[in-house]
Amino acid sequence: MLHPLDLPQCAEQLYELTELARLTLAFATQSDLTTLPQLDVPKPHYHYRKAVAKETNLAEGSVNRIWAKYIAFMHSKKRETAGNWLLDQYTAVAVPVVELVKIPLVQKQNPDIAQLFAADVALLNQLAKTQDDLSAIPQFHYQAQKIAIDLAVDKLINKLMRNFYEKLFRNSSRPIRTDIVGGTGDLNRNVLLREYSHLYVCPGCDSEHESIQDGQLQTQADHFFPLSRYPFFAVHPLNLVPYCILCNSPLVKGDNDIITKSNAANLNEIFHPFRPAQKFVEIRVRREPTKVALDITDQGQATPRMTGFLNLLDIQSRWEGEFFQSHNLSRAGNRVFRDLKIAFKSDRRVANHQFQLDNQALFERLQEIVADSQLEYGATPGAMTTKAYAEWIRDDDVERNHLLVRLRQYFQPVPNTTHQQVSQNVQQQGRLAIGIISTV
Amino acid sequence: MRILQFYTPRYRNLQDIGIAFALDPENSDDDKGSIRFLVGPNGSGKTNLLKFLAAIFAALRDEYTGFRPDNPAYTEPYYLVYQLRGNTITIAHQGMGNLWLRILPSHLSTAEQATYYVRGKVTDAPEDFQDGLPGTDTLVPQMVLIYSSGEVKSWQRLLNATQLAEPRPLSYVETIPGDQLDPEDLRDEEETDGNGIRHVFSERVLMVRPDDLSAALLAAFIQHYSQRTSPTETRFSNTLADVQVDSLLTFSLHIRPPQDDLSDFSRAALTAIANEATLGLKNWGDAGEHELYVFDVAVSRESGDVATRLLDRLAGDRDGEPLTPFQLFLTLITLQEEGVLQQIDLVLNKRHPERDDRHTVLVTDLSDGERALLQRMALISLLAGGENLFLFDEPEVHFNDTWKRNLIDHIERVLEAAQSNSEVILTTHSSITLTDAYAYEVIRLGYTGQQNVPLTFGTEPGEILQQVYGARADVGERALRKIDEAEAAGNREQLEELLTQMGPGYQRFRVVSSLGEEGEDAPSA
Repeated sequence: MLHPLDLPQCAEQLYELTELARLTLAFATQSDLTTLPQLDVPKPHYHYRKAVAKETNLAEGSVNRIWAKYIAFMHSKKRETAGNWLLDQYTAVAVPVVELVKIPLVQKQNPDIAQLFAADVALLNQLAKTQDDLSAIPQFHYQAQKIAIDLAVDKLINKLMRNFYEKLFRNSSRPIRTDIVGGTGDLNRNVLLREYSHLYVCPGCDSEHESIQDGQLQTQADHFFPLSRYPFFAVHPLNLVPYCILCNSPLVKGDNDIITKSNAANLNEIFHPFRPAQKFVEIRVRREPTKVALDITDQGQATPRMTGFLNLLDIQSRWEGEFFQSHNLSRAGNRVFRDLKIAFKSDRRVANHQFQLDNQALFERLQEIVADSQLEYGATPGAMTTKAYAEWIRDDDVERNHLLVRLRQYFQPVPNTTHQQVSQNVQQQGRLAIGIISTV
Repeated sequence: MRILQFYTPRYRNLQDIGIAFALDPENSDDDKGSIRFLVGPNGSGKTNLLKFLAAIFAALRDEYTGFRPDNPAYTEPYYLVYQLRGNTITIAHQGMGNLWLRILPSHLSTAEQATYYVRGKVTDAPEDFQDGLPGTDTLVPQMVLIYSSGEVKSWQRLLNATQLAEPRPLSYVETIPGDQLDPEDLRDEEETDGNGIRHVFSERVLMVRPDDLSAALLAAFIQHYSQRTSPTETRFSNTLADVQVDSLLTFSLHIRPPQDDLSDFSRAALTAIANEATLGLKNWGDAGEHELYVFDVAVSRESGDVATRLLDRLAGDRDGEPLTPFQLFLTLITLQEEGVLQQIDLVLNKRHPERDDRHTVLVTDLSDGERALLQRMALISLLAGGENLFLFDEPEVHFNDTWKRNLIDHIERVLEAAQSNSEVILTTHSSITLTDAYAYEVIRLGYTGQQNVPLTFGTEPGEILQQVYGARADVGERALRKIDEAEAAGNREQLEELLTQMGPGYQRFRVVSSLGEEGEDAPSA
């Protein structure tokens, strides 16, 4: 979104899992009970059969038939192991699959949902990886076709996809086996998050990324396109991005969608986590009577994609909160102040407490901070606001003098006592009084 | 009492140094007590300055009679300005007891109304002068009390030279130029009235010897338990809490039976002690030559508690006024000086710091630090009202940092409670003590003279360490060297290893920043 991200190593496994989800959904939406022949395949476990039958209000025989057909379907795609395993996850997968199969084909109105799935995923890949013109593709297919799909079917599709994420992927106690999705190790959400745990800065909002706290992973895997509206991206690697707790909280992002009516016609007008906004963002600081305001622009322009980005994560007010609020330096200001403190403190040591804190020194130091923070984008929290703040102070004489006064208060709190001068007077008077010299 | 300015052309390491004790002498307010902090590197002359001041008042107390070669106030020229009892007094000593002084009532602003006194041969003497010196009640504060935690003998030599005042051979007298004194006058006259109390309690320059501290402790306890002192007057209970002492149970005085040469004062005091003791034992000690008087503090009679009665009784036939605890202290050390009082033992009820059990201990059984705290705080608690000068040489030695924090507060509260306008001058090497000091109260000596002082009040001790005491860093050299080495070598692993050992502070911040700058990867938590 803001800072560039690398694809996780487990991306291949996630693609595989997404593909399994697509096949499962294809089977469930292209079959109904009437089209299922009796097949001679091993029966599923008794307990499993009972449980699914009870939850779906079907006879155990019907559950057997659906299961046999599903194995056969997966077998035709050379994925029989995965099929067995998926159907064993009866609450996560089997129940919604059987429920979907229960609905007659006519009633599903049969839009080719599996094809929508494949098309959407393809579009997402394109969206994330290329800068090609996307204006020709108006919307995600599922979103566009949603009205045409029966409400009950849509609900089951959502449930099935959500379960792929929540019951299979997020379950930390039962990771997805390597023989199902390939790769080198078991897969679940913690595996993904661990790959992002080196991040020190939230890619969404540029603040501290509290990836590990009390020995536990605290990063949130956010569905960039919300799960409720884009179920096909439930476990898609390009849609699972590591955001900080605040960004991912329901108060900030929640189920907000970056695609709105205004930019739905042209998908070039959005920033995506893998198409970051970092180099386009420009921040200008200006003082208003009651606060310090930020102008955050797309290279000087107010573009829809920047507006969408700002609105999605509530960036404007969060970043402004880092600046002066009623004359208190807050985070960004303090960061500059702290840098200056270190710089001057080390200078002071070198020069044995003698250093000049003047306008020129401050200007040069601010210049350094601007250059440094530019390099620290994405590596130091708040580097972007720090740079904006430093630029503002550097170029604004009034603000710079204000900061200079504050810094002087810190570093040179002394109007030094006049002890030395007075003691020299005492010396003169004393010499005169005891007759060492006769005149002052 | 307030010292304003001092200058001496040569005294040991105080070479041609003028010292401003007050930045603005014109407007200094001598109605309040004040504290001055004397700081500077070792060998910059702090202790010598205190010694010189003590010597001057000792010489003035003796009205410059005789000649004392051990006392720099006789041998070295100096210039001193101070305020006492509403006068601003300027003394210019040109050496060998030749001096002029000016007394200017503080409420008058014009120099014409000053009175000049001249003694001996003085160059450039003011025209309108009186011959001789004014009385000691004008020149000398009631009490100049000196406490040094350092070496004591040099102080005693310096002060005994003035206090004992033995007649000198004539050869000394001849060295005083133009002195018309009769050698007979050099003999000190005993200032006594009847039982000699006035002599003991009159103006004096008092060096507190280590032996005297137990007397101070006893006097402070007596003050603490006496019914006449209100709780606000005694800050001693805070100190007792610091060392987990609940109460004084008993105290005892070892007395050598009085000889014929005993002074009237001591004889009266001894009688009072013997009469008030809970228990009196004759033939005490190894050879049975001593007497032991035991006082049980817990016992209370109809006539009042032991403390109050002892103060009453010791007052003797002085009309009305009971003894103040400070006078009790003077009484006790007078008895010690005369060799009558051999030893003071105090038995305390002490609480275990963590468990809830109590045991009795002798003061001598306390640890060095605890005893030092008790005794010095006791001494400070005794600071009587009135205009006195207190010179403390490194009073915080042996104290732990928490006690150092409390020291200045304790002194100031005692001064305020007694409504004293005394001056306290103390030397210190402690950054923590200095966090209590306003910058104008700090006198900072360098090797070449007095230096300006950065702001110290409420400042981080680490900053004071660097700015006032000139340390290279606010942490120890070992830590600094290890960090510097690791940083210079750019050794990330070593820095991270050090970081696991470092608590909060600038150095930790420095290591964290340099770790953040060097690597591409941000440090993991």
